[in-house]
Amino acid sequence: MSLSVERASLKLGGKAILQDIDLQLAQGEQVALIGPSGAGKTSLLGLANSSHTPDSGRVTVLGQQPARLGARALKVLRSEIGSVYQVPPLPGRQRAIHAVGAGQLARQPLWRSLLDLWWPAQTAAIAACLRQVALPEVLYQRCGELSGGQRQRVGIARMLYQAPQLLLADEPVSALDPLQGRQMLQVLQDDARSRNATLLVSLHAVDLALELFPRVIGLRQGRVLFDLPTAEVTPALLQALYAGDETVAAPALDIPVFAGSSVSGPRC
Amino acid sequence: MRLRHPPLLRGLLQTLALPLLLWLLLLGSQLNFAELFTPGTLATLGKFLADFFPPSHDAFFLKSLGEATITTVAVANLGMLLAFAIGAPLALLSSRVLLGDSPLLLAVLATPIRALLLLLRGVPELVWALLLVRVVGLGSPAALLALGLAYGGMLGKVYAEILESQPQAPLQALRHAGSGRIAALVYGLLPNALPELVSYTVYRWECAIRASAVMGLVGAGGLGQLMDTSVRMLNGGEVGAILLVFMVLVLLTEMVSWLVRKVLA
Ligand SMILES: Nc1ncnc2c1ncn2[C@@H]1O[C@H](COP(=O)(O)OP(=O)(O)OP(=O)(O)O)[C@@H](O)[C@H]1O
Ligand SMILES: [Mg+2]
Repeated sequence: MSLSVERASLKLGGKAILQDIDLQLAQGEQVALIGPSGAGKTSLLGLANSSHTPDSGRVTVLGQQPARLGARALKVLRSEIGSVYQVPPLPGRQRAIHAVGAGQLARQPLWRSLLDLWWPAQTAAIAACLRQVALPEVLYQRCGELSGGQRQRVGIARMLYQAPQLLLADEPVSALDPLQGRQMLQVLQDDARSRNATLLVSLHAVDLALELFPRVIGLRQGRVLFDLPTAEVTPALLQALYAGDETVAAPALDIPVFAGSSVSGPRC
Repeated sequence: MRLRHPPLLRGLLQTLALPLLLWLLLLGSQLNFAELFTPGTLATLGKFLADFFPPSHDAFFLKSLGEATITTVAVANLGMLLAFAIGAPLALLSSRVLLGDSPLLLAVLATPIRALLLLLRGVPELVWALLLVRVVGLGSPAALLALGLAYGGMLGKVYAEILESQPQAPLQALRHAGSGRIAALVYGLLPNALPELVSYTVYRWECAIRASAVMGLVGAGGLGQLMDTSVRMLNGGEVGAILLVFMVLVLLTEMVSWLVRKVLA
């Protein structure tokens, strides 16, 4: 198992965010995570990349439990977990070459990382990653000077450069147009497939999730509502998943849109 | 979920606190503006100023003026170097940025180091100089050490604050991908923090030039000591010359720091 979450619960700020989560991702599997805003997608990915520790239950990543590892072993494990964040965490004044180059910080000695700031050793490899996300021209540009979609793609390029065993992407295409969003997801999928790495992507675009991923997990109010092969995800299930949330692109899927009041369930 | 506004009263208190504090400070300092401008004081001031011109320029005085200037600048620069050597590591070792949230590390390292930094900057550099003159004797080493200690405390505190006030998400993201503490700091925080860090450092350097001159007054060498002698001898021409050099010095440092900031921005 590449990622295994067993009866895991998570509290943040005293609030129960995730409850009784159970899911298993085999090595090389590609899974989409969908659910309304506030359902806990980002938090679940946080459990998977060891930035959150479950309050109960167990999270096992690449055969190891992050919560039980010492500092050194945890670093080694984390170097094999890549994350693309919903909001790309890139310092505005950092140049793209270093933002992407940071993907290898865990695997190279400190002196190398420091020297890279003046004398980048891997310019060609970094440029190749930027080319994969269709941004060959920004290599020496500062991240703060990029558009939101460009920043998001620099974040993807960093994970490509890291080349981890487990790829976690939190709404990696939310700032991209539909065409480019699909292309970027395919880039992630191709990369994962070529290295037999595992890919877990949270998406707001339900159509992309259904179109590109063989397995879809629906998260609602901190619980797994369904975890099914894509073929078995019915419109009724999607309706239940997004019930009370009329902000989703449901019409594109021919799902009747409910009025917020007709379906129960607290909304944030 | 938070639907309420922050309480109105608290906002109001926060808005009023600053003017109130300034007023209290003014009261405390017992400044009497009227007394500064009586005809008597103005006349004395005028005579004093008139004595400054022409500034002294005999070879012997110029030579000691040159030496004192070099001493003052050297003390300021070396003092800043010492301050940086003290402040930068202590800033890192006392901030969450490097230590993370581990309560043990914070208790064992951060708290004592913060106390040390407070002690270093809590004693004004002039007082450090007075104390050190007793220990290492009259002359510039005392001034250099005094600057290094007092400014080391200031740099340490402000560096830590600058680093902690940056968005921490980039650093956290790198840590969660397995990066070491220092590498994550350099790649995640430094790019954005650097302008502020450098800007504060050159500002401190400007202050160091001034402070270095002042410390001469307590026998720690440089322009201040020369000034002390000239004032005691009521030699207005020499005082004028020293002040002139001093103004040029300050102007030059301000130009240098302006340049540094411009290059960095
Ligand atoms: N640090 C935190 N402290 C307290 N509550 C939090 C924290 N982080 C998230 N939450 C809450 O947890 C819930 C789930 O948040 P999460 O970010 O995981 O949702 P999400 O599914 O990613 O939403 P979105 O689609 O809008 O990104 C939300 O109700 C949010 O308010
Ligand atoms: Mg989210």
